[in-house]
Amino acid sequence: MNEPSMDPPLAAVVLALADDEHMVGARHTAWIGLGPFLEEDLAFCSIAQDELGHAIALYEMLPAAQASGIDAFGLLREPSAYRSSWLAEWECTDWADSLVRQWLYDRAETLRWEWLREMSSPPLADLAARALSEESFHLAHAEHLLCRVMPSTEEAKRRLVASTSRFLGMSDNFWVDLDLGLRQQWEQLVAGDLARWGVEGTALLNTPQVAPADRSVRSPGFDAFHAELTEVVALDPSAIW
Amino acid sequence: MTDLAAGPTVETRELTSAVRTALGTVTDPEYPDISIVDLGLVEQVNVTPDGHATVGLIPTFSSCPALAMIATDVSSAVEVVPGITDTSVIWLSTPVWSVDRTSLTARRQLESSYTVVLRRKDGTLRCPVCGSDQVGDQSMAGPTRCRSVAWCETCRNVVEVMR
Ligand SMILES: [Zn+2]
Repeated sequence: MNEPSMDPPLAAVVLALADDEHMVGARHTAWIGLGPFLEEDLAFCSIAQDELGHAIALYEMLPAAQASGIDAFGLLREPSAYRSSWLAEWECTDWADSLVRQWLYDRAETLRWEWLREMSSPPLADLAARALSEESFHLAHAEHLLCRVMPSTEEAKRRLVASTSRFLGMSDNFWVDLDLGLRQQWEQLVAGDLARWGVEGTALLNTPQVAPADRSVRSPGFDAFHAELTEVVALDPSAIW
Repeated sequence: MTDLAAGPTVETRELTSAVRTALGTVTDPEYPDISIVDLGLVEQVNVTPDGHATVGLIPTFSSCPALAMIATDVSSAVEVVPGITDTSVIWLSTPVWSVDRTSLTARRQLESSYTVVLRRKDGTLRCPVCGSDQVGDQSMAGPTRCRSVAWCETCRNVVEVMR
């Protein structure tokens, strides 16, 4: 195997991105069969599949995951060993929240992959190039819906702005220790999107922070979510898939 | 990579060609009459003089759920080629698959068996049912991750687009 020289900062970026992809992909699947309209059901399903595929590919590159096996690594670590963000872990029971989270998350994810494509070597850089070819669909999904829904009615705008504010209050948690010079670019992209959709973004981007600036602290709904993710494997940990 | 350094001899060239023929019988689980060669999944075939075959495949997209099944089918097909002693299947991270890798045969089969089309270079679509150019995109998300949905205004059929 031609392993990437995984120096500690790079391994930390890969682990955080892998855990984010895993959590957000699993959360997106909540809309399977429940999407507000058929195409949306299918869209979240496809996006979830991409993110879970990226999580698997990233875990496979981590020496720690290779040692324990990626299923065990992805599902059975202690909660404090995960490095996912509150943004990715958050349970969205309202479609507005899911849509806003998908937009904010994929804006950041795209920047991370671009960074990995430039700053790492194969096979990680190749994976980044492949992921970027898939990511344009996610950004188009968010753009096509939000540019229409955001300015549609007062209620739609109020609810989407409230969702945006809630998740921007988790920005410090998302970017802590992994800024890589990307947070400023992300905020500019987010402000630009909001302006295109008729929303003033400056105050939203300065929203008070509600999540700890520490990725080792799990979000409030994590334990229940983790129990759900591991429900089947817990029935028989020795089962072979 | 000793298999590359050895350089092709007549024997390895013949074995490689036999392996390629065998790969032509392996189909994609999602399109059970279209070969993975025609779909552009096969990137490299190397055979050493002692009969070790290495097949390098590229996935259509990284979370394709059929990858493990395809790898197993490739091993089974290559192992029985006379002269092959052992087979490795590897998923390559580069190049990235695109619809340009599909053969004309695959495109015709996709149209006739699945009413699935590929976008033309200029981005337009042709209806696989009636041949009309009046086909418009309807949804980026289709029944599977690798297909979007369009609609033919002439014959009013749903047309799926491989992407
Ligand atoms: Zn037609």
